[in-house]
Amino acid sequence: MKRALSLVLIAALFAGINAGLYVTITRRLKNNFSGANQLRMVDVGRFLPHNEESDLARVNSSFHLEPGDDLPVLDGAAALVPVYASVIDNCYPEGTVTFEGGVFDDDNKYGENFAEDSVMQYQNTIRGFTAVVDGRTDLFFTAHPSAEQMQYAQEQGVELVMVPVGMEAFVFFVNTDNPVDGLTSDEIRAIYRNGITNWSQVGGPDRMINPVTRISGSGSQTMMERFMDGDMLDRRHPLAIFGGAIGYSFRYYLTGLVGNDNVKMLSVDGVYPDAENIRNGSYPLTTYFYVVYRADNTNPNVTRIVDWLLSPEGQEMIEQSGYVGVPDLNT
Amino acid sequence: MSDRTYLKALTFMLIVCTVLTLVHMGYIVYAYRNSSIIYYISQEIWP
Repeated sequence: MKRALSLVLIAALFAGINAGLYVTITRRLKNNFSGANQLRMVDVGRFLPHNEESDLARVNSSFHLEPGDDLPVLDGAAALVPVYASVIDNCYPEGTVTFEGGVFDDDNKYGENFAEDSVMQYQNTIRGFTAVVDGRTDLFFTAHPSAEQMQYAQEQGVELVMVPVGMEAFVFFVNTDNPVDGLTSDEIRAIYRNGITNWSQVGGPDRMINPVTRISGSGSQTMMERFMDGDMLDRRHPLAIFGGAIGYSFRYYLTGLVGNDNVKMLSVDGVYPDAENIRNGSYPLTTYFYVVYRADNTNPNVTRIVDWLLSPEGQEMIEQSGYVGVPDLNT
Repeated sequence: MSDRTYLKALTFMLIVCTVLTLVHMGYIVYAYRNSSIIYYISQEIWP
């Protein structure tokens, strides 16, 4: 009887361990087991141009391209889909975007769900940047490219023009139940250098910090590496995975595109990243986002679109898209 | 239960449980590297 009981107890012990892992970790990874899922969170179908139901900024543009024009192909980072989709909606003729939908999978992880001849593409930061360097995309909307991406352009002998067309905040976020509402820049850097490892060191409860990072080459990871001056942790404490997590992203991606109510943005150096604090420059992690094109691109409509983006109409479209316009242009 | 039977059952159970736990942990490592961080953090449990 004791032996049978011991077998049952051993089975129960393992079951308990696995149940604990499931509740604390596995459950949170549900349906998120491939890189493709990171992109799935942006429903491109919500932002298709020339569709009344699309969630786009419409400004009654006075600038229009015609069907016979050489129409630039637009692509961009996930967080900027609403912006460049709105450009097409405001300035391009109808019938130039062919969305094929389809199922995201590991062979289609960058959302290659637009027809080849569509003026709108969605390959996200890493592949999209390569596309503009290689000449397959005319205008690419992105946060500041990474050093590796700029080096790739240099290696290809391609000179790029980067024009800032709007502003965005780089934000840190935690679960809404985490009692910490803000951190200083130094505290964040210490967290991502393993100098601060417990929430109690920054005014929170006694719980290990799990500093989550992004994939290399993504817009937010590039921004984070700049913020950290290249000095960032290589490895977390193995048990940090059980801790309270902190992550980073761009404000609009977090609040506008994903819109998850169970996470909250943190104030940085006492300033919350709302539109007003981005506009007036008080939020310390404000950055431009850019439209990038090849300097040798001979399509005259490329610069016409850039000029329109910098015009009051273009800047209004960017504001209506949920971003902040370039302040110098508005004064 | 004889000693031999008990040892067999114990060994079998330890192997099966260990393998299943290692597979579970392997899945966690694989999935964690590729998961959406926003979803991951949103599902966090705080007391």
